[in-house]
Amino acid sequence: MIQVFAFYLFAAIVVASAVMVIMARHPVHSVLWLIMAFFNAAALMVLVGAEFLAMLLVMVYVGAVAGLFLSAVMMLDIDFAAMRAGFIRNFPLGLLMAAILLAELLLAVGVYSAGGLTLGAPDGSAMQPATASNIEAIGALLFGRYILLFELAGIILLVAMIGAIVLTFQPPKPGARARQDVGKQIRRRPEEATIMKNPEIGQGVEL
Amino acid sequence: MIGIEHYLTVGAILFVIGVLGIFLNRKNVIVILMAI
Repeated sequence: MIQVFAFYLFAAIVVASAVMVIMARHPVHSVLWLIMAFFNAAALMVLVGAEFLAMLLVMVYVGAVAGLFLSAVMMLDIDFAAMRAGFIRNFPLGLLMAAILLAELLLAVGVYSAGGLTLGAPDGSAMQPATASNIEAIGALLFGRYILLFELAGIILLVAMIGAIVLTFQPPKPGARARQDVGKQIRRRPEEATIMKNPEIGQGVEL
Repeated sequence: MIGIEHYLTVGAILFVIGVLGIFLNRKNVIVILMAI
């Protein structure tokens, strides 16, 4: 009974925080609500027995990502009036899209609990037995059963990274001051770069 | 008892809130994307 109560408490808080994230007038408030939502989502994960994921959520998202957002939002000078104008104009369309999406997702939940998918089973039969530790179970699934999908995601990220580098690469200008000359760097030897000195005590050093 | 359906429902609501946030906001999209 207490689990049910805790689940509904955390779920209500996380949904309310998420609503506040998008409705908050000030972006800094949004980020703070986002942190609140992350903490409650972590509590939900602890409730279902995924301590490792909960710890990861708190450490990576709250610690790194939300902190980064907070500093970025505080640095940026945002025109709040322009943001409000877009809010009113897009509200009906956005609400309609969100309602359609929610209906679709709830339908998908119903279908998912009706029968198994090929990737996972609704009863969690693909999971490791509960005796194995949390991290062990994630590793076994990620690097065993779903290794192909995992590698595929890695390759997609690699392609995106190379694409970003290629798209933003600018060839160096001829007169640029800080230009790398690989041949000059490799030709450099320790003898011409460093001096060995044995300074006398109390005499100071010669620069 | 709380089953997987409850968790999926909460996840779906959160996702929809994130999508709604994208529609509503312009500047703040990055934060909204993380909310998803």
